[in-house]
Amino acid sequence: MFEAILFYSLAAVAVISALLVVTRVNPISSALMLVVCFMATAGVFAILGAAFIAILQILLYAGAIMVLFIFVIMLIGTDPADLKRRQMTFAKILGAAAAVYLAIVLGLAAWRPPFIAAPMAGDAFLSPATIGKQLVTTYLLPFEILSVLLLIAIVGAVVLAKKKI
Amino acid sequence: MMPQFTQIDWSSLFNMGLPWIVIFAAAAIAFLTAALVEEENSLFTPVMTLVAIAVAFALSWGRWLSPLPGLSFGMLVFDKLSVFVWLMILFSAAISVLLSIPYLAARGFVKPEYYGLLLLSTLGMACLVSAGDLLMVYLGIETMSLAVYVLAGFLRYRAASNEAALKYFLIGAFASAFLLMGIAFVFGSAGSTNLAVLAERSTEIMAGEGRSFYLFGVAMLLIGFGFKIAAVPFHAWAPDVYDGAPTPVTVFMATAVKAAAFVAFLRLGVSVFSAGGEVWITVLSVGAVATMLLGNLAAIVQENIKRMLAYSSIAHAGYILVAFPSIVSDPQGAGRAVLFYLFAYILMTAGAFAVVVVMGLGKDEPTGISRLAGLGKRRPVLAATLTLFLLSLLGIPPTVGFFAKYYLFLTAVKSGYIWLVVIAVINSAISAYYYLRPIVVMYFKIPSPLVGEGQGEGETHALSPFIVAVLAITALGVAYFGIFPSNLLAIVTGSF
Repeated sequence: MFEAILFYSLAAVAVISALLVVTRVNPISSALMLVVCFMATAGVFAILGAAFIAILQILLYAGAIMVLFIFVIMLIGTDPADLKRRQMTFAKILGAAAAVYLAIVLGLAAWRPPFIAAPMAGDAFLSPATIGKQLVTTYLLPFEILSVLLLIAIVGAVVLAKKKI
Repeated sequence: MMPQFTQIDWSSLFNMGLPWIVIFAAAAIAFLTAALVEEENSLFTPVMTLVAIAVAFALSWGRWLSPLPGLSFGMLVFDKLSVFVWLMILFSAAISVLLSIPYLAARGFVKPEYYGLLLLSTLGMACLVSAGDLLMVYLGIETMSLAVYVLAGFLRYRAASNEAALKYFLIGAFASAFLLMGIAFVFGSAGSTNLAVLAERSTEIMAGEGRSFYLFGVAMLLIGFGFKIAAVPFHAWAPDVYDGAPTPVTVFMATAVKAAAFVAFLRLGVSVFSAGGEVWITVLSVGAVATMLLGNLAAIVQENIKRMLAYSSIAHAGYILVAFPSIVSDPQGAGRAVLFYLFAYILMTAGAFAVVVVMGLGKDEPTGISRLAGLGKRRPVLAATLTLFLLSLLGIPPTVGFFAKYYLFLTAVKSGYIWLVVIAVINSAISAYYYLRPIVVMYFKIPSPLVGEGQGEGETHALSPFIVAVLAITALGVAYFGIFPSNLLAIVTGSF
């Protein structure tokens, strides 16, 4: 029961803050709302017993990546007054209607008792040791490709951004 | 289930992955050259890249010829299909490199990183076409696309190039979000991301509790792939990106990226469409009709040949989608028709864009169709090759484009989608207008010097031997496989 209350409140915080991220005009407040969203998601991970992922979520996303976001926003230095107010257009209304429809369909699909309870992750599962072992055994090939991906990202950033290459 | 760590035969995996290692090593050398060597304008990197592609091609060709059955490593599947498509990708990459040499030299922007990124992108495509798991599909798409985003914006001084890169990147990131969401829903309802497991269990899942989530997940995957293959209504990025990117990169996007995405889509379709076919048939045929119609109608009004070819590429994606509903009843026939079409499409598109590279060798990119006026007199051979490619894209009989369309539509008719084929044929007729127009301009229109018609800046130079090589290879391919389509059909039949 307590867990359910915790989950629904965290989920509500995540959804509401995510909505605020995309509706704020000031990019800084969007970024700060994103921190709230990440924190709430980390909480959901923690409830599921995935403590390691919860910690990574806070360290990497709420920490490192958000600092980067805010740095970029401040360096570019957009004045909130310059930003255009959001306007209602026909396309947006249509898109929103489609999104609401999809959400209702999915909700109705899920609302089919009995719910299949997600199996609780054990302590050993999703511990850093297990993740590390999986990464270099079962998921070794994706792991290697990921390193190629990161190499492309680094080289690409240098190629596009450095003054003289 | 997925093979355990200890069950993988690492020596055979190494054997299979050797071409990939060659490609990666060449990319690493290109990056090191960029860092260590001051000398610019040298031919070292492109030639090294071509040698690496040739070595990888030879190794894979040997693999394709060997009678050994396909090997599955859970995450990666090496069968005839993946090896064949990998060969096509290497071929398009080689063409792109050959076109890049004079193109970059004319702009004084020769950088070894360009070739390194191109090679790593083909590595991503290799993962994509060999993927046996949705996780690998995602990583392959990301690796492939990330390198192409950078390549699209490689000419940093051109605003259009920057715009192309940014637009492609944002749309690509958006598409990735759909893919990931789809993979999450499929995993949630099926308990696995392995395509073989999904193929086995999809009937069971569709009958069970997770049906809605499974359908939703696969629909999201369709949207993600829709962006990658530029199918309507996810096509809007394609004309601007194809137009703004450096032309050799456009060739790469229109051939290799499209082929890789289509084959991964085909693999996914063969795994999951057999269950609950009705839903997918409707979605795919509506998508095919919309893509063909919009691509062809929008191509008619284009004044710029690069944009015209971009819309034509959308239309061709629509033709290929005509074969997709047949996957449900006849996966083998549909797969073969799609492979045949992709092969033909790579040949004719690469050739047509090679002529665009010749037109745009000056500082600006004069690619208006009116620039072609009088080309038939000034450059009869070049005009004749462009005519051949355009006729093939249109699908006139003695070219490979005709047989590609023929097999594609035949498959659809065999599976009973006659109305779809009727619409496709009507679309082919529409496309005659914009494919014939450049031909008419080349041969019958007298250039008027007042409005700067004719004489693209690059046309005054002698043709670079690299471009001549590309034109010769693609023109010969289009003509040869047009006269002997059974040879290509035999290759394709052996691959799927």
